[in-house]
Amino acid sequence: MSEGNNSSKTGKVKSLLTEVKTHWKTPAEGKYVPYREYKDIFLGVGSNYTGTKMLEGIGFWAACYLFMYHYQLPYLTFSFIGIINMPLNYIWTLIGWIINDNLGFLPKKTERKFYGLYFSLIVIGLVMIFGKFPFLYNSTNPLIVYLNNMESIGINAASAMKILGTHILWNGWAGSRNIFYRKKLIPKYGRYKYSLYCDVIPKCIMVILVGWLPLYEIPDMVTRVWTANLLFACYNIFGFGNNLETVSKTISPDMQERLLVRTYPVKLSHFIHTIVSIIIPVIVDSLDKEWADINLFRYVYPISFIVPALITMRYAGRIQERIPQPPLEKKVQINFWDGMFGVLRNKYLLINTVVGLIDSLGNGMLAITTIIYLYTFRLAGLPYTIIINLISFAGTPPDLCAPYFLKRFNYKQIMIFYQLTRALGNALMVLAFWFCGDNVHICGIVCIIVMFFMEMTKTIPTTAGHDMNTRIGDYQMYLSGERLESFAGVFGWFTGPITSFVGLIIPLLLLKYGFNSNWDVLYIDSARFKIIAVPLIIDIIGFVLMTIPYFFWDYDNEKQTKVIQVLQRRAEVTQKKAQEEGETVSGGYIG
Amino acid sequence: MKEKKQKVFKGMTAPVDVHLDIPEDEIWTYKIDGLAEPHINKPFTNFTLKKIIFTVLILIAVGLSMYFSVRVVSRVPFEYNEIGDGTYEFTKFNNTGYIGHLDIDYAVEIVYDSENTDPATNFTLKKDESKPISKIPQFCFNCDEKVETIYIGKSVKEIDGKAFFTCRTLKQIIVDEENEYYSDIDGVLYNKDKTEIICYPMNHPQYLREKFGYNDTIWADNENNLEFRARYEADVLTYVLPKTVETIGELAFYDLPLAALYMPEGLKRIETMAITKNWWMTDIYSYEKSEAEEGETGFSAISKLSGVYKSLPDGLEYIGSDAMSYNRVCQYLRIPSSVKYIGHHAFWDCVEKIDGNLSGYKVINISMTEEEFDAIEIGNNWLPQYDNGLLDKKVELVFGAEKVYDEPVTYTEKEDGTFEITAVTNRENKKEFSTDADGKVVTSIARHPFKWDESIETVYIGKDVKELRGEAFVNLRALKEFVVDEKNENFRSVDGVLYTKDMKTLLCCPKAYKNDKEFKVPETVEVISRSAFSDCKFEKILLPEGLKRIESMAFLKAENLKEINSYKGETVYASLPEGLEFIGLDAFNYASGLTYLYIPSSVKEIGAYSFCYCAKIDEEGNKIGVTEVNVALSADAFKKIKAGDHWIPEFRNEKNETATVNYGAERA
Repeated sequence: MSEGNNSSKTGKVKSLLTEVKTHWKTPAEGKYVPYREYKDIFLGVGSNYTGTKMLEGIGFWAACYLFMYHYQLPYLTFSFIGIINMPLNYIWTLIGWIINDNLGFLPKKTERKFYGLYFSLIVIGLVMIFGKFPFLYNSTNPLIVYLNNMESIGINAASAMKILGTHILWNGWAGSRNIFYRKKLIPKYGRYKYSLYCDVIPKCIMVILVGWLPLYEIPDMVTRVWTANLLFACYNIFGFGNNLETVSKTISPDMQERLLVRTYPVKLSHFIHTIVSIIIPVIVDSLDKEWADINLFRYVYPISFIVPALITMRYAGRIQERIPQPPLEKKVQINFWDGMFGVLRNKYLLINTVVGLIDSLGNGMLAITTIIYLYTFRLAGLPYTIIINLISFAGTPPDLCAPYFLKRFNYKQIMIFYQLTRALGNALMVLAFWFCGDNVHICGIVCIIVMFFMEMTKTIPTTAGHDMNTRIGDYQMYLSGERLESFAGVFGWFTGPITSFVGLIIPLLLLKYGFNSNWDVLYIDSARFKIIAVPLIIDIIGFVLMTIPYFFWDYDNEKQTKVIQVLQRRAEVTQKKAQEEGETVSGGYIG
Repeated sequence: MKEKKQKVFKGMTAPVDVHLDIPEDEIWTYKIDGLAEPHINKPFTNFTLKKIIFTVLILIAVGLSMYFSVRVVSRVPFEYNEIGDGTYEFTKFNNTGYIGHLDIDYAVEIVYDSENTDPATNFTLKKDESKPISKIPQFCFNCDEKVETIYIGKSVKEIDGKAFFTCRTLKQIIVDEENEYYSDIDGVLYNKDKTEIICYPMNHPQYLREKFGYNDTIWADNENNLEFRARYEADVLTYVLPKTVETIGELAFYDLPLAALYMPEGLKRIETMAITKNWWMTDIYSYEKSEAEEGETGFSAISKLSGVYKSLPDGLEYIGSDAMSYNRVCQYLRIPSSVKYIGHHAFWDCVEKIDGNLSGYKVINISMTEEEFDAIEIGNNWLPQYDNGLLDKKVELVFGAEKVYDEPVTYTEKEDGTFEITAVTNRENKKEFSTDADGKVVTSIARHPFKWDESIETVYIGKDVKELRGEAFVNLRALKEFVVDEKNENFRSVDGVLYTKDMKTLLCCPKAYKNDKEFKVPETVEVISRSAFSDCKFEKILLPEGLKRIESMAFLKAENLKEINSYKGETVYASLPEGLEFIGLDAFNYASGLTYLYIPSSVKEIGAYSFCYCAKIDEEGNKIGVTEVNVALSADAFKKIKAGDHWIPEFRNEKNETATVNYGAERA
């Protein structure tokens, strides 16, 4: 019996090896992804993910150590700059949606108009940044007086003009690049990873410049603010998103295969980042000022970004997106109203929006992990790395079993369970801070155990969430002929007032409890409790409410299978017609 | 044999076997059961109405979003809350950016002058005397970066210690004398009977710098200038708590550059974060008695303390959480036997490993037995710990530690059994100091052993002393003469001035030298040592032609110095001496009385800032001091010598002008 079992296991291993060897370069019957691509996904996505994670430490926001310790910009400066840029942002966004969801393929006349607009913006932006406007210094105009009274946060009327100019310049530059590169590169590289090809080199240069340009040494805060804003505008022009992982979500029209790729090569690829995240804190610990040391921005971040970025580009070309779609020359043209009304017809997008809206109840709260690791436990160096990785590892075993759970339970069950566990976890942490907040060991251990279990219960819903978002895209493509991923942003406009209002509450509460640009307030037990507990309680309410929309989710497996069949049929028919008409086509995929 | 039951899954990825038969002409319209119908390249019904509704809704949404976003950053400068007894709580202050002085006595509102465009002056603060303020709650001024002075009115009854958290520009908190609950000592906030210190403003050192006449640029430019540092520490960075103080309040001494703090023996409580992040605090002392006058909290009070010993005072009962965390320079800690509570992280991060050596508290001394110590209430992680390979290591505890009184002279035994003098505190204001006073064989004196001193007039250097440097004595401000034992083989004194035995190096001229008008450096001297004449009162200096080196800071702050002349035999000329090769860092900096400067052709190196502030603009706007530098070398030849940054005199005006340099100049 035992011998039989062993030989059967050996046989399975052998047949698996044979299967891998046979289909190393060409996929098996009924499958779309060859096994070599699994290897490429592991290395490519892993590097891409690591690179993006490295970039999380650099950004024009208050939580960035560069700004907190070197630029020393007040907390409110970032919000105020956001407001200066806000009104025009709505216009640029609308134009961007049309370009993005048409993949850069616009009617000639529209394209010329957009280019004209964008080039004008570049000129206007440059004039506003580098021009001199004496009336901004001595004027009784109430707006100018108001702006000149904002010097305490590093802004006055003249610098506000430069900040707005930066915004205009950025949008002109980014917009024209967007049309040009989408049109040139999407046919060759696909809709998700094309930007890596045009952005990776300038991004590497900008990462180096951010650390080395000594703008933080400018003594005048007003000048420091607008120059930093300009520097980071240039930095942000060039993206380096987690594009290859996005590609992997549409790696196959087959749902099982998508999940398999998501669960194994993609998940395992994150270990590359795990290894880096073990090494980096050890290096950081050796720096004089640790996370605030300028050498972190001069050496550690650039090196730990550029190396993964180069590996990413080595494998990017080998990972294919496989969305059943007509050739780009035959794709459905999406005009403004098609886009707007198209996304509003997507019921499942609406459900996701409502969930996101309720989730915004926690907007503005601080990262609980930061508070626990750094301000409760005062972790640094190796212990910090061990705990961070122990907790993040908690989600790995369940994640590897995701295919089983996703077969066994439906999306509704998984997501409701997820929200309830999050509510329970947060409640336990509040209780820990409440009853033993001054006993650092007990409170910290309770929190870490809770976070460990929350991480365990998080990964399967996260995988499910990613998969369902891809399905929503498929469904949108069925409804409108395009995925309309950009136009879907209009839901954010409708929910904006509520999220802004909610986002107003927590920061105001935190300010009242003492949280401002000096995080040392978190060392005071009484302040730390309020700063943590009150937002957590609001979040708990949100998690419970978030279960409600999921009761309306009825997009099952059968519907998805049918949607894919419709998409495949459309691709097949359009491609056939194009061939019959003798047209040269690109970018289509039947599956 | 029992058949294995086939599991039936109904999850998201369970396989589904369906096949749709879609005709070619229906690919854009084919509807799947249970899902909405595709809408591709088709007109919408009621299109105009839908567009209008959509546009209106989106405009409302966008408008509201912008409104709320603006609200996030909109701040009312003054927020008050009526308490109920007719008085008000000053709940939040949001600086407009131009309020540097604030009275907290009555509620105020800002009134802008629409004719004035200068934001710094276009407003007035109008007080409403019907609204007296009685309470200043926690975080009222959190992270303000503009207010320098706060005046607390007589109506204020309650101030939370956290109210002024991280007000980095706050120099003074002045309390109305009629206030029944609070008071201040020179801008430091106390309760009325001075049993509790509530807030030492974060920028109070700046107030003291201004008070004692320190120029900011000195500290920016001369971080390593130990002579200045000692005086600066004495005037600005030393604080003596009055003998009445029983409590150091929460955050009272948060994030300050203080170097030394003296606590009275009546102190009972050090509250949460009371003395945290004092990165440069080298010494904490306690004292048994004080005869200092009320309000005397600076360096002058130290000589009036008696029974001074290191570290925390006997009688202390409570040490709050983070009470003294992140003080990494302080070397000695003793916890007295009276302590009953130590909060978590009380001494966290008070030790660190630098180049393999520990800095900070290497051990914690405790004046109790281990059993007694175990019985007191202690929070987690109270002990400092340092990086020790993979994991951190806690410092050791030494039980049964005795009080360590502050000895007047600290000797360090050397490998050969002789001693080095490493620290001297002239607490008894003696007029003489002798290296032989304690009968030890002293062979060396450390670089800066003397604390700031205004009493010692004579230093006696014994026969065994072999190693010392001139700058060892820079803090002895009343020093009139050196006396060197005749048997000493390494040093000698001539007319009270200290030289090496061979008279080739002038080591130190006493700060209060008897003849303070003119000094002639002997012709044997080749080197004037570091700080040898710094702060001297001479008006004229005569240098020998054999002089080769003027070391760093040799004439620093010689503000009375008007002439530097040189001599060879009977010939005297207006110049630095021919043959001089080296002028050190800051050598003549701040010698602002000089008017003529000639640098001979022999000079090969000029240190940074060597003449930097030898010029200035007077009150009438005229350029005075060294307005021209005459250099014997041609411009091309000068480029070949080594000249540090900012060596040329600077006027420090808006145009950043410097003195004119005349290359190839003839000697006057």
